[in-house]
Amino acid sequence: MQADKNGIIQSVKTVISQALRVDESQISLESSLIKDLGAESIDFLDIVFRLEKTFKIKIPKGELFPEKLLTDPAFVKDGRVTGAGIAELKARIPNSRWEEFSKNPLVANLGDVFTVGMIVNYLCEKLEAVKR
Amino acid sequence: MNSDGMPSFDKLRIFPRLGVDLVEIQKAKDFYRAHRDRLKDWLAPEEISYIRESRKPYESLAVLLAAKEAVFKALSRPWMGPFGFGDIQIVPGKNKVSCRFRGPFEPFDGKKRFTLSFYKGKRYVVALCAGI
Repeated sequence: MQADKNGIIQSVKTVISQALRVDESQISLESSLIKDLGAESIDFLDIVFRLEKTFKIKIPKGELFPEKLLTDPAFVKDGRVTGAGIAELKARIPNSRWEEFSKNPLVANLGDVFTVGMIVNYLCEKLEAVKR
Repeated sequence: MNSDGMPSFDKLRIFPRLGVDLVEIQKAKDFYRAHRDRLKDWLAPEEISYIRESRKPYESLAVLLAAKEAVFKALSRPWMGPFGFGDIQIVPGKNKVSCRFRGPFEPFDGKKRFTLSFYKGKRYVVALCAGI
C-alpha cells in the first residue's frame, strides 16, 4: 500500500507540475494549489482532466473539488463560511487544513484548503475502491 | 445587517459590482490542445461553436474563461468549483456579449443586467464585468 501511495504521490506531483508549470521540487503534500502554487480556475479543470487520463478513472463533478456548496445561504453569511458550512466541507473533504481555515473562514480563503495531499488522499481512496 | 450589526452592502445595493479577470492566452492554448475533447463537459454548445468557429480557438476560449470568471467575481462567488463555469453561459453576439444563468444562478436569468467588456493584448485577455 505504501509503495502504491508513493507512486500516486509521484504521479500527482508530475500532473501538478505539468498543469501549473512549476518545478516538482517546489511541490509538497502540504502545498496549497492556489496560495503556494498559483493555481487559477482553469488549472483546476486541467488538473481534473490530467488526473483522469493518468489514473484512467472518471472523477465525477464535485467529488474532488466541491461544487456549488457555497451558494447555499445556510453555509455562507456575509462572505464567511458558517459553522454548518465548515462541517459540510469537512465531511466532503476530510483531509484538509480545516483547523487553519476555521480561524478566519472567509469564502475568499477557501481555495487555501485545496492541497496536494488532499488530492493524493482522494486518489488513494478512489483507486482502492476501484480495486475492490 | 452583517455580523457586526452594520448594513450589508449586498442588501443596500448601492454600488455596482465589478469583476475583473485576466487569462493568459498561452495557458488557454495549452489547455485547448490538451483537452479540446472535454469542452462539452463544462461549456454550452453555443460556447463550443463560438470557440470552434473562431480563427484562433484558444483565444476565444480565453475570452470565455475571463468573461465567466469576471461574472463570478461580480456576483461575489469566488469559488464555484471547476465545473461551476457551466452555470454562467456567455452568449457572444455581433455587437454585445450577454449572459445566461443556470443552476444556482437561474433566478438571475433575464433579471440581472451586466455589462461585459474585453481587452485583448498579445499575452493576456482581460474581461471586466460591471453588474448593477
